[in-house]
Amino acid sequence: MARFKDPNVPAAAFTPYLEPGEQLRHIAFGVKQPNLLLMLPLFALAVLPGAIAVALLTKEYVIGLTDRRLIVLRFKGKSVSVQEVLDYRLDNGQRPPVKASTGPVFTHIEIEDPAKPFVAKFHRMGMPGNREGAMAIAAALTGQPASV
Amino acid sequence: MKDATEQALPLCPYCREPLDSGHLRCGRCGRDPSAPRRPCPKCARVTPTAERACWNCGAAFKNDMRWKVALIVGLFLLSFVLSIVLALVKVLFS
Repeated sequence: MARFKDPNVPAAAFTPYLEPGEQLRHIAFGVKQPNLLLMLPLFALAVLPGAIAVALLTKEYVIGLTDRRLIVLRFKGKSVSVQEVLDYRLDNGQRPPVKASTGPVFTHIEIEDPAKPFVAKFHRMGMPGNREGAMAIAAALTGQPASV
Repeated sequence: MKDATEQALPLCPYCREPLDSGHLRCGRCGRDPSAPRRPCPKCARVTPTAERACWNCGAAFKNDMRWKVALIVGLFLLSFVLSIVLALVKVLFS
């Protein structure tokens, strides 16, 4: 089940954080789940409470690629209540150190900036156009053409 | 009216002043424009994530992890208690 049925909803969340004249080109919805070493014992102790715990500890992100930078919004709820904002400038000739890969279901993006690291995975069914958006953003960050 | 050059410069997320390229801090407010930040739930102004209260209105930021951890521990304890109760019921009435 998609997190957002209408991609305009998460796109609207970027509006207060855009600079004058900045254009939003691609967006994608992703999550960062707890470490597997924490998830497995939680599920082993009790399945239902473990699943609830994992859901509570999972962070949701919407990332947006503009003509100048990558904006990362950590949010919660259907109303996209923004909890944290990260941005990585791309217009100063220096890309942040990025690892990205795309598989049959997920696109993984990891930004290895020591000051503000970011890791998330983007499910192809996260929202309409999520796979295309995530692959386009990954390609822009790595400088390599998008491919599976 | 700002010229085209000034419009292309990035803006400080705190005071909206154009940032000079190569400068690590805003020349007007002195803050680090690249630091992670969060919007205040009361006034919607952004503050660095590391801060515990909003720089603009002073509203304290809530820590969600406290109630989440308490809820998770409570759920596990409840499941264990229910398991023990069910086992005792089975033993007593078998």
